[in-house]
Amino acid sequence: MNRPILLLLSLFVNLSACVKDRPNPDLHSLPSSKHRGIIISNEGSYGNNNGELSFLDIDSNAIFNQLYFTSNAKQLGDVVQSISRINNLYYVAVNNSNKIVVIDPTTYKEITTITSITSPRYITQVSANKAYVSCLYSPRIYVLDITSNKITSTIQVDFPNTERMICQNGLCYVTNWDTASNIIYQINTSNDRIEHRIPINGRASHDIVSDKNAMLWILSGNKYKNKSSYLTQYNPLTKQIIQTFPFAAAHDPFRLTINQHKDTLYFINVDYNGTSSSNGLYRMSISNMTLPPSPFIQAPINSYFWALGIDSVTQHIYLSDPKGFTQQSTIYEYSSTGELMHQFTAGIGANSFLFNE
Amino acid sequence: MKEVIIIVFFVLSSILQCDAQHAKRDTINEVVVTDKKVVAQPASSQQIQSSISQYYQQASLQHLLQLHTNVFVKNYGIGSLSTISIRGSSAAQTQVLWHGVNINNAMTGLSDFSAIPVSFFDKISIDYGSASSNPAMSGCIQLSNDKPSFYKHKKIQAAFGYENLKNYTASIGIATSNRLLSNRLRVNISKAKNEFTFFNTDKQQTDTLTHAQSNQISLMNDLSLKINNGFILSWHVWAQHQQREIPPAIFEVSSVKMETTTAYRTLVKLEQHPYQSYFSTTTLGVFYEQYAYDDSLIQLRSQASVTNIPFIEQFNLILPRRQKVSLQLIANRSFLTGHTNYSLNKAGIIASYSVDQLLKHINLQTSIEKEVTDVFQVPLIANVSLNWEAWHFIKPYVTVSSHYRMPTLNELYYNPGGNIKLKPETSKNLEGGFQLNKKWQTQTLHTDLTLFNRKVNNWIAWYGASILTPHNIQHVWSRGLEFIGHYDINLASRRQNDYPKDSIMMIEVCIAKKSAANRIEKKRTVSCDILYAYTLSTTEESAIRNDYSIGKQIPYVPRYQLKGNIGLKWDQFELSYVHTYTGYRFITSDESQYLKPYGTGNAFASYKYQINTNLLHATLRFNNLWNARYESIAGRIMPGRNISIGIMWEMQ
Repeated sequence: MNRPILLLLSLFVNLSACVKDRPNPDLHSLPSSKHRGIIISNEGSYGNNNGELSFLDIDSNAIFNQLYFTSNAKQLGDVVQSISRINNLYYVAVNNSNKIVVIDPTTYKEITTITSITSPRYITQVSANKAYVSCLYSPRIYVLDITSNKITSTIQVDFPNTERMICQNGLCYVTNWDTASNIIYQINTSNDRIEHRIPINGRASHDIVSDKNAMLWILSGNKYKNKSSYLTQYNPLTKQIIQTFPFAAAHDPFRLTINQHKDTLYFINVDYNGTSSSNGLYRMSISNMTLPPSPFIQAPINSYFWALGIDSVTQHIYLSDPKGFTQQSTIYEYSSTGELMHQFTAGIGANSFLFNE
Repeated sequence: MKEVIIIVFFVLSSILQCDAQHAKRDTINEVVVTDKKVVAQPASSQQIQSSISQYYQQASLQHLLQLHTNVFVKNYGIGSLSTISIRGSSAAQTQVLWHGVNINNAMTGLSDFSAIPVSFFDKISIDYGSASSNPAMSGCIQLSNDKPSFYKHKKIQAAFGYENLKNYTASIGIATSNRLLSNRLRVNISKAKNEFTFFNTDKQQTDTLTHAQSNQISLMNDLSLKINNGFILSWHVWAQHQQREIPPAIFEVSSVKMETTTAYRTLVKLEQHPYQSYFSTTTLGVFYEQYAYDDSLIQLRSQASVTNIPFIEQFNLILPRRQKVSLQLIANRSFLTGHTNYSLNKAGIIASYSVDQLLKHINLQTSIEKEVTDVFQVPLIANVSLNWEAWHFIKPYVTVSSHYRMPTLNELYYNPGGNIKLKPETSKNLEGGFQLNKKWQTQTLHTDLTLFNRKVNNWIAWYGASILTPHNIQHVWSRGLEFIGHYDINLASRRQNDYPKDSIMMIEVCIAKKSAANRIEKKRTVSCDILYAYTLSTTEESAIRNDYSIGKQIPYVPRYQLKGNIGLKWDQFELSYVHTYTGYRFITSDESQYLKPYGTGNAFASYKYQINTNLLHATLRFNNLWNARYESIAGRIMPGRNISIGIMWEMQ
């Protein structure tokens, strides 16, 4: 009678605790501020409050994760959308936490938090003491005084979802990622007034860069809301659209970036299914008359690229694979000819690279 | 024979315990002998005893499952969506069966356990394993009610509950029956503010949870008509409407998110038992569910509704030598309302055979199932279970089975992101264990130890960024151990529930009481329950390059869960204490982020008082007695210490 019970008990004891439950403690350290490198914003997985910052040390090929938590012993927030360097400080837009966190670039200590803002997306310095903040869901641009770190006013626009911005010659050009919008705004930064609404082909503009000839390149479209994508070249001096490149309906391009010489455009075409042949990084000269037919760097099968950065010194290309935002991202470093050089593990949902030149 | 008697005793005692409120009956009007042979289940299962469910008569099923079962409840915050995981499964791999029919939302594949009132069901049981009665890939929760009784009878029940989170519940139940008709109506209304203070670690300040209000009204009616002795026609209706606010996560400033769900479920069932050796059941259902989400802050409003029409025809033949053959024809149509082309239709056949004495002391259950759908191909699946009555009190069992889970309508058609190319998830399961049942003069010991091993191919994971798309990208291996143990000692010297030694059939007793007899069970017992689950559920293969989740635990599946319960029953008083431990849960698939373990203590008290034909039943629950701070989901803080009281009045 006792034998079966003993058998049962020994089986239970042997099998009941095979794997240690406590995870290995994460040991994080801060990088040397003297090294050249890339600050990576990791947006985290939506709703999990796990946005973070990483630093990729280009000199030593080492990556440092969880910079904010290591330095401040608290979470940075939910959906870290972007990071900008303004007056030698990092301004981190934390979208779903409705805040901008101002961080010391050496110690990564939080200096202040700007909370009177709804769903910030991107921050662009427009003058010595002023920056514009684009935002989701409301038709406005916040005007931020970067000496007091306070919102001083807002600029009303026609549609919600203001997005990327670029400033040149005292003017700020703001894209408008709303499917009802087929314009970008030209704002006079001295009086914060919209001077001109520039109509473009296509709707939902989201990316904008300026080339070596001071021409603006605007990427627009929203595949999932049936708005086809276009790349538009615009001359701000003559206020004329020079040319427009329509994308195939299945394409979903974003992250328009220009190299240091401002003569080559890069963008990611994303396919969330991760299976199509048009999934990857594209490259085109500003003098091209057509869109590139195939990716310069094909994304791995069942993956897609999410962040894009070009090193102005080495011309190396940095891309992130966010792995569906359910785990840490892989950062790929490619040579200017598209050869894979290194890969690193960053935080969850790495979405942008800021080079600390 | 002796072992059969022991099992008979257990089954009977649990049935009688289930009916503790009505115990000590003096007049038996009707006895219904069902077809079930008393054999140990060839897989781990658990029936919730009424001594436990009595404390949750004003609560939802999630609370009960959380503390008294090996199910892991994933709670998206107080008053919010609550789903389950069994043996490392995803929520959609489990099923909730109402009168044997799956009621998971055809759109999402989920059931919300925060919206299922415990008081609506007489029987709640959990099939953890791959028994042939369990159609889910992983486990299932079975919700059912007692069989209708056809005699002149009337019972009215009214209950009120209060929780000091500013939550109120009121319910009423009316049961009437005569020789031909039996009807039971239950209505439950709850209004919950879910207000509590907590220390917000993200903001480093004390906060009060706001925007967490929930209002729900639920109605259930079971009408049965006895056509003649062999034919019963029944009509079951379950209607529910809920409106709830979604509170802000600890890192959010505020929330204006709202969701409204409406569900109408109805089943018509015809049970025919024309001959002793043959019976059949026909079931037709219509389930309609509507879901609306509103976030005025971001001008997001969405609404979707789904209709599901299940049909089951089951024929059963009892053959000599305790053999049973069943044939089940099933058909199901589900579609997104207003988009009839977004549909999933299936039909299938299940053949099963069982024999109680295949060889000496060996019982066999086996089934084979083939379905066809209009969207994808599904494999042939099968199940073989052996149950060996090896010793007088130890019964080993083993089950080998294969299963699949079809993608849901959302996974196929959600816009944007749905993936029409999805394949069904398939699994191969092996489990084995021992049931130990031992009874002494005044003591009872029951344990169930199960080892399980399941490999799932084509595991569906939602994947993407602003647009999420489901993919068949992973192979997941779940394995582990479950233990359910119960011990009680009767402090009174006389044995109760002593049944004739030659009883071999499980008997369900439906009793009328014509006089005002004593309705409070005079029993003095000390009992102890232990539940333990050790679950490894890891990704084994992935189609993603550099996938860091290989070899890592599936998110939100704790490796360890331990629950202990000690209870005292002293005539009309009952006291119990439950302590739970939930281990680390990973937020990410690569184990890089996790939630820390937590333990909660919960105390319960109950008192019954009888005046003539009236029974007054008061319950008291101290939840999270030690004020543990924990999150079930990252950023969604759960309440600290709180109290619930319930008062129920019953008149016959």
